[in-house]
Amino acid sequence: MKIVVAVLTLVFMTAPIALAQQEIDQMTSVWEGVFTEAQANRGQAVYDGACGLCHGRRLNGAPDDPDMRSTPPLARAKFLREWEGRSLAVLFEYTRATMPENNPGSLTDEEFVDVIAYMLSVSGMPAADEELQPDPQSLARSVIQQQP
Amino acid sequence: MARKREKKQNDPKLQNKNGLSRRDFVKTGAVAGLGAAALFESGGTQAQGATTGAEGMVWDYEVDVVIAGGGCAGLTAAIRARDLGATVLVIDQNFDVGGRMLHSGARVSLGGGDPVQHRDMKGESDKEGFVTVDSFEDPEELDDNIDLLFTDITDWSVVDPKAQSPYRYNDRELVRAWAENCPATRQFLIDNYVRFTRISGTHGGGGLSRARAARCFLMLGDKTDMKAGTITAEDAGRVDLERSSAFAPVQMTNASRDVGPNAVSNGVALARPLEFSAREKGVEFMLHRSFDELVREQPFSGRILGITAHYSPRQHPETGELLQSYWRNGNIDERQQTVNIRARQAVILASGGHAGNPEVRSMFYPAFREPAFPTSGVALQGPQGQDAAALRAGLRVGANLAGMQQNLSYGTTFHISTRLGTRDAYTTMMPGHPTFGFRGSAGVNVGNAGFEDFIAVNQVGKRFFSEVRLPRRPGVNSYPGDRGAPGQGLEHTPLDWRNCRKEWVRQMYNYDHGLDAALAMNEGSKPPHYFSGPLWAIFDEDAIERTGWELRYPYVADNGYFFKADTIEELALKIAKGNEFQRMPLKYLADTVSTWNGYVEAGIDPEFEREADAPMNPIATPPFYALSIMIIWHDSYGGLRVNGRQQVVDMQGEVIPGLYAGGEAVGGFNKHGLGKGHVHGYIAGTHAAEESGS
Repeated sequence: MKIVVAVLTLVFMTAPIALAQQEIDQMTSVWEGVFTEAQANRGQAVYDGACGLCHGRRLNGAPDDPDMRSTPPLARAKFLREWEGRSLAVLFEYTRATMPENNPGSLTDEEFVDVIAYMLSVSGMPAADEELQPDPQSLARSVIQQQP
Repeated sequence: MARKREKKQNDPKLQNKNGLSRRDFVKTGAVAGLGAAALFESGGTQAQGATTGAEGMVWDYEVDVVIAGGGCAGLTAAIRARDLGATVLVIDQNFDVGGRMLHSGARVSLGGGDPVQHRDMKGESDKEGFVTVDSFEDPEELDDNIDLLFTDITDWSVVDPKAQSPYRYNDRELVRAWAENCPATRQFLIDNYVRFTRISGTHGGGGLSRARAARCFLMLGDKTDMKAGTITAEDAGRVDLERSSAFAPVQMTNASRDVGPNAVSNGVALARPLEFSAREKGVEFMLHRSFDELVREQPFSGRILGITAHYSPRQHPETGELLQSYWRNGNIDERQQTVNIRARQAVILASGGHAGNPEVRSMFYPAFREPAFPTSGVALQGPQGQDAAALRAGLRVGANLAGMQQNLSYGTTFHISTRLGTRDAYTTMMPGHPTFGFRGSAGVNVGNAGFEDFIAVNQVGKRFFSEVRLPRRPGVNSYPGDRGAPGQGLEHTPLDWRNCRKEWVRQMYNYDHGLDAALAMNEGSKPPHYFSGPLWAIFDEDAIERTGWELRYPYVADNGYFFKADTIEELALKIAKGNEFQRMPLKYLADTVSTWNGYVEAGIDPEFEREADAPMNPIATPPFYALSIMIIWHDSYGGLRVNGRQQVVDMQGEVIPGLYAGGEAVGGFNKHGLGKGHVHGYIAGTHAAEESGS
């Protein structure tokens, strides 16, 4: 538990600084096509097993099991509002450090970015020809924005 | 096996296994009656002239052990008693077996050093090799023992985020027996075809010191076979997201995270294997049969001799045909209006709690007598599910009660569901299960986040609380849970006053009271009941654009829980006319919407300070919509008082001979869900089978 808190603190403290150091003209909006359809499909399969129990089949934070309480939405307007202005690297590091909640870090880096591609796809963002790479440096160049 | 008795006095079938004829039996009852009369004369409190309990009783069936209720406690007790040589008859008011276990999430929190804890500590797989993911919990977090479990579940120092003390009021004898039987019950379930995922934390009421909860799973395969542990995708409800099966009322979830590829989970993976095993071992079932009364030798003294039960046919909502259980081997098709069933050794009450009985609920929370709000799974369980049958019958033979305040200290006991647009809001059943028609709609699960996209109004059309705060549930005390205590797992110090020091409780208190505002009186609350009435989510077409909610069948239907209109005035009229519990017009709805739109424009909600919680959106673009909001009373904690053998105890502290109870029928044990019921059933089945009988 202490390790997770420390990582989270690190992510949230350092990420904005790292973002601020990026050249603005190097930034890409997540609406400009940052993943492929195949990657989003792979991410859906991972999501279904690792994330869906808590975050719901519609990624709206509503678990199908009524015994479970709501969780944060992982797609669409409310998700984008929450993550507005931060980069995919921050999302990637946060997810990798904390999820799945009962076994953080149990997915591969490739699986984590595939899930992120699925989340972006469900949020309505277009697929393109390049896959998201599990590389914080390149992910830091994609910024999360609400629908233009 | 259960033996049907002919009603002729000289029929040799009237002989029971001890050679006691019916005439002898009645004489025995009369002797007991004399004893009771002597008791009255010596100052007993029972009224003179009370009717005798057993005289004149003609038994239709007789069997060693009769169990009222085929859910988690009842099925476990049935198999256990049968294993020990008893003949067992289970009656259930429903058409199929499994009770609420069948639509549960199958989280079974046990512990005390149980076999699954040991398996995960060693990082081993299950014997079939289905579990291929690594253990989640560190071995130290699984290193459990009975004393630690007992301490955890009676820990006076733990206070939850609602400032309630879930473990403090637990009955010590009951919990000690439970803790001692947890390891054996886990093995028992495994021996009866139940497969467990990796352990992950505890479920509510499962203690804070160690990880103890696993879910149950089956593997997707070519056929549905409980011995092999496989289920077809069709039976699991995994082919079509909008279709359930007769086998699995609630679609099973992907359990690959907790098991490995192709694993699926929910209560089906617990209830169906146990039911299969029970039937295989010769347990008999009389379904469509609702438990009414206990038969005691004298009204408040002597042994429990049996039960009476009435025919409660459940019929298909569209065709009217009698609904049939998925498996039928071992079923006794008895349609006589009332039957009397003799229990040679014991009766076990496992017929559930009182969450579906508004009159009984009122003793815990009077405002909850409002019948608009149901218990969970009303379509599957029917109108007699959770109807307090055990509590009512127990009281009539002198049983004591326990834990009557404990309903107040579990987060799902009552809560506002995030599933809108259906009365049966605590389940995900889809078309394909024969009882779906009783729901009519599956509802739209908007999650907590969805509550910012509408205004919530009461039966007269007025807002009553910040919508965003309405569905928030206070946490439960589990591990890792919601930080109710300062430490979790190895960091938790049981019985430490610092766990409940007031500075800590102030810091972690986290209950919004939206539910209480929802149950408050309003202008429509009229004497003598002062019902608070239904609740409605009101929104416009733009909300659908924002959220992507699918307002179509099977999520919503024309069943009185979803309305659409071109104007707010028309919407209010439709609700008033179309919902069975809406007793008056929503006369303020148009004004409320107009006022709300003014708040949105000003950016301030002076009534409930919504602007502090989430963005506010106008309700201005037709068409306009209304979805029902449900308060659910899910489970029950107060109930019959039992001892550590699950024997029901009377108000003098004496055991009522021949009577056992478990699961939600009993009180004194604030532990959520299945882990309690299975162990109760295991203990009750063990001792019931050992009874020498009358």
